[in-house]
Amino acid sequence: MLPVHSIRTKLILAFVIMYSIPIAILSFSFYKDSFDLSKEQNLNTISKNLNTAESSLQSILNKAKEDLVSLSSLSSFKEYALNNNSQENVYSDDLANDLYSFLTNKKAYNNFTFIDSAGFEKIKTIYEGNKTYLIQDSDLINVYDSKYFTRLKEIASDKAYLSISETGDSISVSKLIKTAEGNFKGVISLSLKSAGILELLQMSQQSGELLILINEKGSYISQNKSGVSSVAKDFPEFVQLVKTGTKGQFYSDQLNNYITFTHANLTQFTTTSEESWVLTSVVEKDKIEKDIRDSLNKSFFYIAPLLLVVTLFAFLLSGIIAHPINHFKSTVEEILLKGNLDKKVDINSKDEIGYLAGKFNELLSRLKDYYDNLEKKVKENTFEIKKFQQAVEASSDGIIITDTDAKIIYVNPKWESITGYKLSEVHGKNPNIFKSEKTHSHVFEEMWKALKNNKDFYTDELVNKRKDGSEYSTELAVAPITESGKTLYYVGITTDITKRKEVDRMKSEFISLASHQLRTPLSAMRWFLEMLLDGDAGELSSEQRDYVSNVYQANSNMIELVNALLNVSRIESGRIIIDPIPTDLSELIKSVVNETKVKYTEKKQNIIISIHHDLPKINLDPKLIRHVFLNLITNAIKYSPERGEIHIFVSKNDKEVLVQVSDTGFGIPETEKSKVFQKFYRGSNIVKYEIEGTGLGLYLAKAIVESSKGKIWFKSEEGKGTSFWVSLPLVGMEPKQGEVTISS
Amino acid sequence: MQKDSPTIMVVEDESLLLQAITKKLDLHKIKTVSCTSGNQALDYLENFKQMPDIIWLDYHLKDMDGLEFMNKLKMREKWKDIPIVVVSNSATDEKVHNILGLGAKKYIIKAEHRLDDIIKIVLELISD
Repeated sequence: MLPVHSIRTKLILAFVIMYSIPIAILSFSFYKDSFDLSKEQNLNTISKNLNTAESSLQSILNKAKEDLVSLSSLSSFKEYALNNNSQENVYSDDLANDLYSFLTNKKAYNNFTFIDSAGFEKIKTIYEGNKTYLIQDSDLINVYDSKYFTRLKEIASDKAYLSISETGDSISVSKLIKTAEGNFKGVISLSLKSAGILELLQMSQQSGELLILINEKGSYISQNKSGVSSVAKDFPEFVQLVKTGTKGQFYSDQLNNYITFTHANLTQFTTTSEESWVLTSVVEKDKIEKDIRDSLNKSFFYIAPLLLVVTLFAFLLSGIIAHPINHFKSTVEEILLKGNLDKKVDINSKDEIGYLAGKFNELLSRLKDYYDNLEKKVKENTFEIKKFQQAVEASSDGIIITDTDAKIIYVNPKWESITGYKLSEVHGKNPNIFKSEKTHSHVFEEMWKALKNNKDFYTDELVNKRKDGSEYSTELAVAPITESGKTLYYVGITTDITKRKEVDRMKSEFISLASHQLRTPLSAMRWFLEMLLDGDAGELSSEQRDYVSNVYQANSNMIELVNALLNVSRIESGRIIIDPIPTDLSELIKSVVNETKVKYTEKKQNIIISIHHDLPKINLDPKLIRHVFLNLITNAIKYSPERGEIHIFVSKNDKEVLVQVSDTGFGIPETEKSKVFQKFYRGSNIVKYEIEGTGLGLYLAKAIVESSKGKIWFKSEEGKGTSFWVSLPLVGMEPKQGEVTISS
Repeated sequence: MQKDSPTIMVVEDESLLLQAITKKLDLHKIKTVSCTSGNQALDYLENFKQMPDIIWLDYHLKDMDGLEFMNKLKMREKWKDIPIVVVSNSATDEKVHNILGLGAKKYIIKAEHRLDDIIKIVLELISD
């Protein structure tokens, strides 16, 4: 119901601490103040009481003195006291009656005594049971030798003498009797019981025990016990009081008592020199403090229920404050449990919790919107993705996806139908299970090299094995799929190109066969024409020779054309073998020039060759490159007039070698410059001069140069001359596997 | 190694070409044996005592190709030493390699040579 960790508990604790602390502080100070005040009051009361007691004592003693004077003024007494000299003790009945009536009801006085000048007690009364009695003569004593009598004789006649009995249980007030002439006649005294005096002094219980300290020796009178015995050992500190000031109040640790004292004013009396009456109140500490303590303790009984009420109040108030928080909490729990974003927190208070609830609801609705939006987007995306998924599924190409460890994770239905394997059979396997030995290993090497470098890869030289063991040719395009620069998958698209390969093969076979078929009759024609021209069938007339030469020429053209066509088809089919070997370009060019020697000598043309002195050997396929230069040089020869000049420059820079072939020939017409490298192009301006030419030479040359990663270009001015440049990279040509070579 | 009149066996299935070749060889006073098919050539070799000094072989024959013919020759003791010149109109490195590997002395492409030249080469080979 009230968990340890809750706002409510914290609130309650806060409340409790909040009022407990001030209450504690206040109570404590109140307690202390009250206590101190009370104690002070008590002590003050004691002082007052003591003062009152002192006054009372004064009165009592004064009264006794007055009574003595009155008694001594009694005529009966005067007569007795002043005139009596004999040893006999006769006194009149008048005196007895006077004494009776005077002393009856005077409780305070224990004895009345008349002592003559010789120290004999003559008259002594005693008060008992409210009545005064005369003591018999036989009990009267002589006190002449007593300290008391001795001292008495010395005092002034107008003063009264205050003394304490030896035992301390009574006090006497005494006066001298003298004649008018001043003759000492005796002493009268009234004695009071100490206990009686103390009773008269009426100290209350709370004021503690009253003692009257008499002298430094420690004689004292008290209610409980009185004695002339030394009080020094019982109350050593008290002894000091006799000497100290008139009044005071202090606490004695030893005895646990508060001591209040006041010196009695006894100036009307003479006392023995050592005597000094000190009224002392001795109160136990507890007595002083007990009452206060009790009442304060009682007050707790008021505080306790108060605390309870306030705690209850704290409990309730905290509940009121915590209630909306708990409501909030349970609503949130419900929302999370059910995932219901439509539910709202229902708190409308104007305080921070209400605000929080409002904002929370806002947050919820935003979250809901966002979630709905997201759902929508996901649906859209999924729809989009489905499109692509379906495209992949329905593709007429086989599609295969692997992870970066080359494990197959997906193949599409077309792939399955091409290979005969089902996805479940190949999932998690490496695609090399379809490898056929017929595939050249370089295909795989190139593939992995490209993929490692995150590049796309294409080959059409793959031969794979189906599930049933049959083999098929396929082209494969592989691309890595990356995300933030990291490769996640490889996607491969394959097409069964067995048919296409077949078609290609048939095409090349056809071309091969066709060229062979064409060549055969061409060869036959050539040889017979040669034999004719050689005169093997008889001498020819000049006209006959003419005609035969023309036919021979035409035949040569056709042979050249067929060769060129064959090369073109070979180049276009990509079946040309490239076999680079370190080639000395200058040697190559010189040999080409040599081959054309007949032609340029015939035309009386000048060939100038200048070759860079430091030409390195370059990896070139000599057959192919030879063809290029042969074409360029032959063109220069063919399309320059007699006695023309042909320059051949071979130079290099740090990346490539440059061959320039320049002539002073007919040039290329401006409008035809864009067609120069096209198949069957022959310049319109030279066709009439030069019959020979297939129009395929430059096309082939360009194809060869470009497949060697070189460049070919030209500059020309009609009527002035033409320069062709060929640049080839110093790094040379890449070898290529193929099936045929170029034919010349 | 005949001194005066070497005999050349020409195996060529194109009759026009065969005519031209034999005519030219005649002019050079060389005896020729003409065969228009591989089998015919093999028949001759089988049945005739005198082996030719050299065989002029066209690669593409109607009934077999050059490789097959050469393999057949190798199978007989008296045939395998006859020098062979393969004359054809097309050549791939592979073909040439294989043929030369099987013992052909030379592989000549018709289109690259005049008839005279070919004959010259053949005669040179005979006299070796």
